[in-house]
Amino acid sequence: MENSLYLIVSSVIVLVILFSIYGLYVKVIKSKNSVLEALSSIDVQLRKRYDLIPNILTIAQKFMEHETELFNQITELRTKAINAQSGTKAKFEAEAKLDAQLRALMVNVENYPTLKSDATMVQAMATYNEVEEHISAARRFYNSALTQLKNVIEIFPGNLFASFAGQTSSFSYFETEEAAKAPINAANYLK
Amino acid sequence: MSNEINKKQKKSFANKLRNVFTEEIKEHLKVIEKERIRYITYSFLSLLAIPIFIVLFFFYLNNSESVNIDINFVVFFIAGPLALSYFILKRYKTKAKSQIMPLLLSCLGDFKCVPKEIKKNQDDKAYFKRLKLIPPFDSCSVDDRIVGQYNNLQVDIYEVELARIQRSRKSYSKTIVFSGLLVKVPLLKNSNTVTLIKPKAIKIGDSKNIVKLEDPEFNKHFDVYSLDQVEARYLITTAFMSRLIKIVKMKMGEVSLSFEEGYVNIAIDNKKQTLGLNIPFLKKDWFEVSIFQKATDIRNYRKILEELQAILDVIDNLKLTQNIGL
Repeated sequence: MENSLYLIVSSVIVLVILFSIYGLYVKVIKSKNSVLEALSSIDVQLRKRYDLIPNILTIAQKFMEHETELFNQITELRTKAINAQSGTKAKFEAEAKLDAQLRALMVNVENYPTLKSDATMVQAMATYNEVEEHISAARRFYNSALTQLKNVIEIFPGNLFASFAGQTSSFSYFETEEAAKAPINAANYLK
Repeated sequence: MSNEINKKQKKSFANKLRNVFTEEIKEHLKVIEKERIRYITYSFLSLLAIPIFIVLFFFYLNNSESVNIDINFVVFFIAGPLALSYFILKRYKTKAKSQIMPLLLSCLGDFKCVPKEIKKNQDDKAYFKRLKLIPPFDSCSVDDRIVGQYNNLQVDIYEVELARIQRSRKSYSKTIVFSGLLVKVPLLKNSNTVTLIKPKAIKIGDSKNIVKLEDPEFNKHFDVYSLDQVEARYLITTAFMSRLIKIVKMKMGEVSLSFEEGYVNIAIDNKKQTLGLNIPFLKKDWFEVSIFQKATDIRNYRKILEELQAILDVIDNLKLTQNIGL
């Protein structure tokens, strides 16, 4: 009688432990998948940006003949960003550089009133702004999902199951590049 | 900068109100004032029935040998005059408001009150039914509907009461699910799914669709639900979150918000002020003319304009009239 009671109690304890382990495993995998989902949503938005860049450059080239160097840099950075592996620091860096050059292009557009008022350019810039907002939203989603994953795999007992998530060290937070953090000198834009 | 514009706007409304008051409506208000006194007299007379009844009742108790009181009879003679008095006062308020509001709204630019027959528009009821923002309801009564253009944006303001009705052969119960304001403003951003911002206390939908945002103070007040995590963040930027917290601090009621059907829908629920009871006296009435203040008193109308201004402040604070990407 006593033996069977011990057996029942110990089976219950083992079952609870097994379910807890399974629960943690599910949590780790779900968090990891959420990061991957967020990464893919950034890629979807970036794809839109890559598709938009040639259109903007084609329109801009007609009016901005002296900016060939900037166009070449953007094209080069675009190719680099497309080829970089998703979610890696290299990808984020390439994106940041491309972003900076695109912003420089948008500032230069201000110096060409005919281009600025061109209907197709106005439309392209509006679409560009919307895509940029979506990219920023997707990056916020990614950072939030990554925080959740890090919380799960770095806090005990989740850290014991971190290996279930596979290689997670390649995931890094999206951070604003140093150039964007620097104070803006308004005089540069108000020539 | 925006505060400065608001201050200027408020000053301009105050000036316009003074002009409208002295030049256009003062004469008209004198007629309404006479009506107010008439309605107060009727209301007082109906309430007078209560002490008369009490005196007669005690007289009856003193003079009869066997006391046999029907409680329904007592309730009828006390609640009846009270209800009658309430409806007389309510009638005055409705009548005065329908006459004064169009004139007052001219102070706010291109705004107008929607006539009663259009207020009962079935399209609006169907729109409210489709909204995920408000809980399911069976009956809908629109007290006020104000439409207008604000900074080139069509703004619809509804004062509505939505209730759930349960009927059976023996019983009838009405539970108010929403009582307050619903503001509808076109959404200037593209959106494909429904995004809801609900007060933390109200749990709706699937927890899988919860969007965890970055602002801890915002998260203390609200839960966000959406099928699209990216779109929710595209619509609810960090700046938008802090603006929404500012609105919560205005304490106008329980604020919830949705991005659906191409509109930003803002619901300000004052249901809690009724303590969950269906008692008309407890209900917060927006844009009401006070019966206890002279109809010719400008302070009466300043309050209405201040309430409307507060709603326009919500639109300004949320920067719904500009698509600046923030």
